[in-house]
Amino acid sequence: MESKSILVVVRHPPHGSSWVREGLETALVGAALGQPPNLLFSGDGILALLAHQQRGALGQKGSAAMLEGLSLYDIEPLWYDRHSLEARGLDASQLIPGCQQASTADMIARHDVVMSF
Amino acid sequence: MNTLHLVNRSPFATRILDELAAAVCEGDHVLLIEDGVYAACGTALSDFPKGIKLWALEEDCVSRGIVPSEFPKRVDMAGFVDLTARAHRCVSWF
Repeated sequence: MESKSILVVVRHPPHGSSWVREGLETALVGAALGQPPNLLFSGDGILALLAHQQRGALGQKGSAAMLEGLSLYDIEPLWYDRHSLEARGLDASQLIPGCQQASTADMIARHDVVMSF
Repeated sequence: MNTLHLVNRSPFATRILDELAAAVCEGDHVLLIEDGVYAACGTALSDFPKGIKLWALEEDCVSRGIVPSEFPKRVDMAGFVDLTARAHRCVSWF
């Protein structure tokens, strides 16, 4: 059976909820099953890609360390939506290494299955 | 190879319609469900890209007392299933 291409879209910011971690864990499950998905950060999701993130106020782990480990599982590059970045007054130089720009509409149209977090 | 986009948040509480407008392709379907049906009346969708088919779930419109303007068109649960079956992929916006 031909395998389906999977896109995981992260649309929520880190720290405020567990959506980012849920999305990353889903991507890792795909990789563990031999089918690394593409991972796209769109909307407030791109805020998870900001470099120099720390633990939260209560010491909770955050998602930065997980993001750095994704390349070990062949989940790379980390795609980000350029318009979402610009709309938030950010520049690509502020993101962690290994990020590459994309268009959310194109990315959705190119995959069989889209999972949103 | 179209996409069915499901929206279940009020466009007045979030920027969800702006985000979605940048993510749709011509020929896609957008179905408003739950609090998403609040986008079905007034001018919330007037700037939405053309070439996209807009739907509002009948049951959620009725329960909220929303009467959609000319667009989006109403669809019932069976129509929801039909849209899902005919789409190449579904994406949830929440």
